[in-house]
Amino acid sequence: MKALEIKNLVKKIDNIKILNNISFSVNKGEILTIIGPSGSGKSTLLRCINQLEKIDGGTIKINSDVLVDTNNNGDVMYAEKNLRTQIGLKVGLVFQHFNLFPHFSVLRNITESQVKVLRRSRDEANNIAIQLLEKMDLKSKIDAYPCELSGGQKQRVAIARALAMDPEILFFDEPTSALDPKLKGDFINIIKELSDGKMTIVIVTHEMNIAKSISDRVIFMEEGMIIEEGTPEEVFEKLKNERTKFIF
Amino acid sequence: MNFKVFIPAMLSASLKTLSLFSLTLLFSLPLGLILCFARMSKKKVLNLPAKIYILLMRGTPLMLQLMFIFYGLNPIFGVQPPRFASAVIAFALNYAAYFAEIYRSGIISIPTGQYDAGKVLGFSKRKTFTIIILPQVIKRVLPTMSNEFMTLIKDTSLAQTIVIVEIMRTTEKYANVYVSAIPFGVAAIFYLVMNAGIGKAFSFTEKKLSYYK
Repeated sequence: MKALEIKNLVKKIDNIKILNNISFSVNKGEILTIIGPSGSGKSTLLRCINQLEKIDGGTIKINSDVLVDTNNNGDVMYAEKNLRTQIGLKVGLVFQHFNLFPHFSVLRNITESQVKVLRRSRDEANNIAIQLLEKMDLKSKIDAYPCELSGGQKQRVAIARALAMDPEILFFDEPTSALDPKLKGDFINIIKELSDGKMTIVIVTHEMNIAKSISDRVIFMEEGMIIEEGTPEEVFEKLKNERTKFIF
Repeated sequence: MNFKVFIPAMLSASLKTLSLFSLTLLFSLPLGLILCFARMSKKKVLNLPAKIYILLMRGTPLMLQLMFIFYGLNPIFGVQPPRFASAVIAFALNYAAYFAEIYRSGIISIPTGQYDAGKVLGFSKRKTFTIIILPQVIKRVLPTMSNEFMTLIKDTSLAQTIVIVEIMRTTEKYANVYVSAIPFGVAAIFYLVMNAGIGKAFSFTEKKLSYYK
């Protein structure tokens, strides 16, 4: 079963193709890592899938629901608004800078969207948040505000906030860029734990080690195109041979 | 100096000043927000009129606007708003322009990541604004707002030009009657007390909201 399917995706900014004919898919329960130098379009790709950017061509299917399709005349057709919102709720995104809500406590960061979007009761939302915080080893910070947290703690709150919405795919944008080496290890453990729970995970990163240690499959992007795709071993072997200029 | 006459007169004048102040805020604060949305809209039919309006209101003297509404509407349009209503309308229309720009400065200072987070979590545009953006905007614009509130207290003295018996008009009257400078000192104290109260209220609110950065 495919959790995500992308065909011939094109994204232009000022008429320059930031993403050029991207096609790939993600199987359910798989961990896919998208690597590549900065400016290769990998973050833009995440933003397109999460509906933060509109695309200029191609197809995005999430769980066999068509978010956007392009006909033979090149007309880009998005799903109608309700379906778009529904599809949006199936994907979660943990931002590079976490983007927690500074005016809400940790608890409220995790419950607000449950209550206001999913219409769960406060009690139910609180219980879900508490369980997630226990899982993230953060229960002691339940009443803290984001400004009182370290980078690693903020990230775990951001993960809990995304998980509280019960997404089927969880996306991470440069998850280790703000973390020191020890916290990177913690992050890898969290990903492994999520993956054991059958979560489908897509990670955008420029760190090869992360890609090597946790992914089932790796995609290497450069200048808006997919250059290599395969298991971590395959991709890194090819990259070593063909692109020695790329620093590991 | 007969303080038994002067002080009660000043107290009732203060009431006039304060009611002009509060009514102005009551109308201009929401009007400013609507104006701000129009100003920030991508549609030219909305943002252009808003820009022109803001330029007009900030670019001409409040006293002129006040006189135009009280003296100018009748000869041109044949409507004569009452004295106090004219003052409220002029002040509210003028202050809304300043508030619109203050809100705008607050809104554009919020990182776009906050909107992204709202969108990804499924909040509608309206909910993203009211639940996530607006509370942060309010905190950010408080210091500028306290400036504006204090200026408004002092600006109410312009209402005397259309013969509204507020603090300054009363002060001048008694200064003439008693041929004394004391009323000016008393008026200064009245304004100071009001603005000290406003300052206190703002620092209290700022402190209340200081639990997050």
